[in-house]
Amino acid sequence: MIAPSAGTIIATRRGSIAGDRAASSRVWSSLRRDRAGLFGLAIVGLFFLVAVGVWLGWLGQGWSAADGGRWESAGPDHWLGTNVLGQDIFQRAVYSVRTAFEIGLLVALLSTLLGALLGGLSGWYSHSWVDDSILWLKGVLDSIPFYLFVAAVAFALQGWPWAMHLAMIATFWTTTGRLVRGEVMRLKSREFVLSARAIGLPVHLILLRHILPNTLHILLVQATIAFVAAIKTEVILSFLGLGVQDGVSWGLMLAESTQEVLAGHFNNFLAASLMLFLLLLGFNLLADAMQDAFDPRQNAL
Amino acid sequence: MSDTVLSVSRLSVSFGVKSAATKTVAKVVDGISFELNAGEVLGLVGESGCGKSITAAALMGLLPSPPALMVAEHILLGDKDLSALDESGLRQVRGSEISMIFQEPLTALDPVFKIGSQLSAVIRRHQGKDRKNAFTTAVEMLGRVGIADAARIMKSYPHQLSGGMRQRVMIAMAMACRPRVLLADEPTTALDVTTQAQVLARLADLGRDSDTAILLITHDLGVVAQACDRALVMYCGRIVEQAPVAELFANPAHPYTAGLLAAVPHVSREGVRPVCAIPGSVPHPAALPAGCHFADRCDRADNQCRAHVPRLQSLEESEIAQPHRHACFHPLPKAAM
Amino acid sequence: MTAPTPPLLSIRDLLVQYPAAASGKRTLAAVNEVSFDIQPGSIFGLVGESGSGKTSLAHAIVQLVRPAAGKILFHGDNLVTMKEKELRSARRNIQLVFQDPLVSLSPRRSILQSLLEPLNHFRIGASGQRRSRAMNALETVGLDQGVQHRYPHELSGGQRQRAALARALITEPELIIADEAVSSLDVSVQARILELILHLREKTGVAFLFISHDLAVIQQLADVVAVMYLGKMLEIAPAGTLFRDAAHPYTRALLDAVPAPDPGHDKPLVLSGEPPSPLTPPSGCVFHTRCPAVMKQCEKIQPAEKHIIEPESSPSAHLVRCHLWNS
Ligand SMILES: Nc1ncnc2c1ncn2[C@@H]1O[C@H](COP(=O)(O)OP(=O)(O)OP(=O)(O)O)[C@@H](O)[C@H]1O
Ligand SMILES: Nc1ncnc2c1ncn2[C@@H]1O[C@H](COP(=O)(O)OP(=O)(O)O)[C@@H](O)[C@H]1O
Ligand code: SF4
Ligand code: SF4
Ligand SMILES: [Mg+2]
Ligand SMILES: [Mg+2]
Repeated sequence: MIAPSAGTIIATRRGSIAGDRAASSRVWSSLRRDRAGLFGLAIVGLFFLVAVGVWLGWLGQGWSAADGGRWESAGPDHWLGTNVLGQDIFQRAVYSVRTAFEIGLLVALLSTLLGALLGGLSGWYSHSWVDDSILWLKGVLDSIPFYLFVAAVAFALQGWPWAMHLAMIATFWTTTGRLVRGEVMRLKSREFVLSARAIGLPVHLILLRHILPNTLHILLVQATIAFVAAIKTEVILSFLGLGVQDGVSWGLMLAESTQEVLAGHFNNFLAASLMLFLLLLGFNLLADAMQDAFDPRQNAL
Repeated sequence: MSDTVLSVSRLSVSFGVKSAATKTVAKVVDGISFELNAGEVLGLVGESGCGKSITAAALMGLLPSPPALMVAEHILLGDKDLSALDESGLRQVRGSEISMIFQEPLTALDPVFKIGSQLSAVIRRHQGKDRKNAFTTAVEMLGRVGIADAARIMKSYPHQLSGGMRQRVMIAMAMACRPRVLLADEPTTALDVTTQAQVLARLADLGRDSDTAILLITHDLGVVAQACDRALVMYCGRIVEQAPVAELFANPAHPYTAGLLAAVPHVSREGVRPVCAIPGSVPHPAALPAGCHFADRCDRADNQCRAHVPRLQSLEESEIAQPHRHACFHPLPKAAM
Repeated sequence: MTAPTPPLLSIRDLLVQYPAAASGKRTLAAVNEVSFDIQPGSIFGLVGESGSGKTSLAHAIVQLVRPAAGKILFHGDNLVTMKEKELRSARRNIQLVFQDPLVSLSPRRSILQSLLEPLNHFRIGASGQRRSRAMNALETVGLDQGVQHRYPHELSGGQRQRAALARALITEPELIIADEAVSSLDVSVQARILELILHLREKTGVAFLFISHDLAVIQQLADVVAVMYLGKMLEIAPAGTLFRDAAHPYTRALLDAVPAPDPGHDKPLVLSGEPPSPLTPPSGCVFHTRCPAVMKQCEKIQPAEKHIIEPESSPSAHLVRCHLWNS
């Protein structure tokens, strides 16, 4: 009963539409075949479970209690020893998983949403004043040095704890926006969108039913990239004192550890950087695998 | 004729087809071999779904390799064996030595950039020209594919062009790469007769001037007649007939070729002539009949056809440089002259 | 045949303009003062070179682009001056079918979803019956019901074009505009879709505006044929007349250019000269830069529309725009 498919789109340079439905299942099967990707997924999954544990109050609750001596070495009470204030390094490192996920998820979600929204508007109303103003905004944001921008935001907001998040969201959306804009422009001239316009379907329904589902692959990949970038940036910002204001994060731990390393105590430094390294490794492997799985050439035929 | 640029030997492509319970393998291209000579335009004809585009994708190394599985004895482009190259090796060859015009021009052009910048970028990369020269060359290339107001088109975005214009821009782009081999997949289906004639003539010029060998994929025998020197007829992943074009049209040996010829609609002053389409349709590659794949649609089929696979063989009379070969147990007799 | 039925669609002096890309304030007239009528239940064929304005005309009729001037009368009501709300019933009664069936159906929606969309949008039938309407539409175009849950890329080219036709038919329109709807199909599939179109016309009485660059296809289908060049309508005639006695030099050139599927045949005569730019169309007769019969007055004076066959004497007039017929 299956008839041969006739018209073919092979490996057009970018996202081809043909076969996108099968894409979801093919993406999954391609991910499954990708050992490194699976490994990455496992790491990320493990970390996520830890974060959930912290959220639920099962793990890392003793992160702030200074119940040890200064710079105790690893032992049964404090698995990875204590820091300068006598706080448990292991608990702090575990609690920081939650901080990392909070920042990563929030920034990834909101910056991707913002990118989708602004990119979508700019693509749909391409070459109009809407598009021009969004492009202008993007150009301005892209040309300000990032850390300067964060410092400015942090300064302007006078120690507001979300200043860092806001700065990241405000700058991270631009790449997503550019990609979505291109894809929307591509889709807009497609005949199925013309058909929808020709029956008078309102714009919001066209965007929701016919355009958005065809940009999901971009959004997913961009969100993973934004997640990784957010965690990395947090570390640097916290190190500089512009990041996490209350609570603990790997960045703060690293900042603490600078003096400790000079004094010959490496536990804080090792714990934070190892956790950070593992999570970033996991996410990068996963992001690569996802990018491969969504590569148009995989889905094009 | 001149020397061979591309030599394909026993190329097969199969796809794993998953159905409810079983996993079968569909052989979409089945052990085809052919040669492409410098400056030649070789036609590849057949109904849609018979494997033409897949063949082209395989030659470009663009098949998605989890679902698709490609095997070939060799695909020699000059002295490189494309079937043995890895992705980075292929990337070097693609564009500069072997290039392709895709069946669907709207997806291949980037909506974000003006035609001018896309075309000049290609010219700068492949011909090493500076910005200004690339621009003038781009205008000239557009003129060569019959676009009159090239200056306006250079400043337009893809969605501002008509369907036929987009396709001609793609052709200009592929020509700008000056490849040794150009695979053109249905390059003129969106074009009207006059533009089509013009574009085909330009493609042929390109072949002659820069010794580019062209594989012209089409389902339209009118195009083959107009533009090709030689043609391969493909059915269900196999080459069923191969001959110089004049010979193929005068003496089709394979019933499938004859069927395709009879199905070409004509314009006539006398009024409408009924089209005689080949009965039935192309079988799905996962459910091909054994023996000759055309047997279910062929009025000359007998038990031998259903049991054995006919091999490509030369017609006895044609012991010329470019043989007329067919894969049929009961070929049509030579037309009375 | 003598009782004049009011036309389904009348186009009067239609002008479609686009801002010319980045060249100051100038505009490009893609459709330039075009007038014609489509009778209910007839197939109106439209041919013309690439870029001559066929798609622009189609898009203007369904108001995808707003024309700069002229009238589009559907059952006598002018669509151009209507607000989006008032257009609703016209949108239901005029449907579009495109060239590439792979991209004319939404890739991530099943065939059933695509069929239901116009029904839901126009609130046709009770919501419980819409599904059976969709099944009927599939049956009408000769598709198996099993197709409903498939996605466009899972169908063959011919099946996809059938599904696109089903989607167009489902609102029971009076006019279907088919833009190069069979151009990407191979001859055998094409032949079956053409049969289907003729059958649909018989069965449902729907009229077609059938755009194609393929004269052989037009000859198979059309009752009336119009020829466009650089945004102008140069000749309109009943199909039989046009293919037998084309009056306009451009139409004759087109007919001569059809490639015979025969390599022994002389190479088709490519019209001499390049088609001029629509930004700066030639003065006088738009075809004069390439016309083999060009005369003095052609460069200056626009030829008026001339009836070769008066409308009264035949079901459809034979109109031509050429000085050869004005003396
Ligand atoms: N959105 C647009 N903006 C500017 N110019 C346009 C736009 N759409 C079309 N044009 C121009 O209008 C002219 C007519 O285009 P149209 O698409 O109607 O041609 P067509 O007859 O359908 O050609 P084809 O057979 O190649 O599809 C062309 O010169 C084209 O470049
Ligand atoms: N990704 C795929 N998975 C399975 N089968 C495929 C895929 N892509 C193409 N095919 C099948 O390969 C055959 C040849 O397709 P194609 O080369 O596109 O045909 P043509 O270009 O001759 O019209 C068709 O039967 C098609 O269904
Ligand atoms: S081998 Fe037999 S079935 Fe096949 S084409 Fe020839 S006569 Fe027909
Ligand atoms: S008006 Fe003149 S130029 Fe135009 S078609 Fe007629 S003869 Fe040719
Ligand atoms: Mg193909
Ligand atoms: Mg068009």
